[in-house]
Formats: sequence, C-alpha cells, structure tokens
Amino acid sequence: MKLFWIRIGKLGALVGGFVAPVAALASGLTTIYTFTGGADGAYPYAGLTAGPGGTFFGATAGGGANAGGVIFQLSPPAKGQTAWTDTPLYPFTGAADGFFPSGNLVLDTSGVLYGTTAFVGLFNGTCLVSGTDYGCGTVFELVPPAKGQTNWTLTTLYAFTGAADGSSPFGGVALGSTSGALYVFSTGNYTCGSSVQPVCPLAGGVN
Amino acid sequence: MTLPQAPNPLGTPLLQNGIIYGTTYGDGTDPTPYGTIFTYKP
Repeated sequence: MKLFWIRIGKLGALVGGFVAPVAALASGLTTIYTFTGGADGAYPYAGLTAGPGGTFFGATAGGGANAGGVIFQLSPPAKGQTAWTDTPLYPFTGAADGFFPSGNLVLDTSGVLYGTTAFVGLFNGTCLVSGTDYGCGTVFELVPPAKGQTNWTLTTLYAFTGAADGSSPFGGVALGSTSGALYVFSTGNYTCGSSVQPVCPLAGGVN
Repeated sequence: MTLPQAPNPLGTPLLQNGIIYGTTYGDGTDPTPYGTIFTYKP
C-alpha cells in the first residue's frame, strides 16, 4: 500500500508523489478497526465521512446481518481506552432497499445520511450479471432515530431502471449546497431526463 | 492496535484534524480478509 499526494503547482501544473513506501509508512499507520465479516459487515469499498463527536460514518459493500452490506458508525475510544467501536446502523437486505453500498456517504446538517447502492432496488430484468437480475441500484437516505428511539430509518429515494437513467451508481452522491438536490453518477447509457430529477448525472460540475 | 497488512485501500482518504483516515477493502485472505479502517499521521 502506498499513499500518494497531489497538488496544483505553479502555472496550473499537477504535482504529486508518493508520501513514502509502505515500510516507511508503517510507523505512522495504525489499524483502528478490523471488520469481522459478521454483523459489522465486510469489504469497506468507500471511504469515511466525518460525523459528530469524533465519529465517522461508512459503508461496507458486503456482510452484515442480511449479507447485503452495512451502514456503520465508528466511535472513538472512551477516555482511558484504546478500542474504537463499530455500530451497525442499517443492514441492507439485498432486495428493494439495495445491495452493495459502495460509495462515500454524505451527511447533511440535520444528521441525515445519503448514499447509493450499486445493485438491486428494482428487479426489472434489465441489469443482469451473468444472467442473474441484480437490479440497477438505488439512492437512499438514512434518517437518525427519533429521541428515545434506536433504529435508523432507510428510505429509497430512487431506484435506477437501467434505461435512460443508467444503472449501478458505485460512487455515492453529492449534495447540492443550496438546493438540497442530490447528484449521482450512474453507469451505462444514460441521459439526465426530467423523470429522474433531481437525481441525475452531474452535468458541468456545477450545482 | 496492529499495523495494517491489508491490501486494497479503495476508499477516498479523509483528512481530519491532521490525521488521514482510510479503509482497506480486504481481499478475502488473512490477516484481514474483510477489510480495515486505519489512520495515518504524516
């Protein structure tokens, strides 16, 4: 494993390099959590999203109570302790709610998480993997529990059809800073039609 | 706390308070077959 840095240099040139080879990196690297492949999930495809109180949100593409992937929260060690705590917030079922949450999550100011699953949502026979219908993916929101409650609530905001809207949004979402719109890259032959607004491919890089 | 041995750091790094947070996907083999979360302090 290597860590690479890049920045914009003089005259707009990109400048980059390796921070250090893995042997040198090792002194600064610490594993703070190792997934078990159980209820905590497996295969964190995405990076982390900063949450409140030094916590982080993330997703595992697989594993979890239903083997469909997990949205989790990682909490820092208590005072005098060293172990970080992983709390599964939502285990995907691999059905209409989605499967394989692979992109980074986005946290809005009210504490709601947004993300994508690369597969399932609609079983419409369009998105096939080796002849099996895996669905075309979803965009979801995950709302924190109400006061006195413990369960997070997932709502599917959009299920891709594999038609003009594309399919398999591996990369997560971007949240519009003022409009609240979500922007998603889907794969496949898509167009940003009115039927899928405001969830559509990012056009021009500007919301 | 152990040093990370897992391959495949696929996720986007997150820089928070001078510390880089990252994930490794894991590859189904020991010692971390299901992935990890790690920190790196430059």
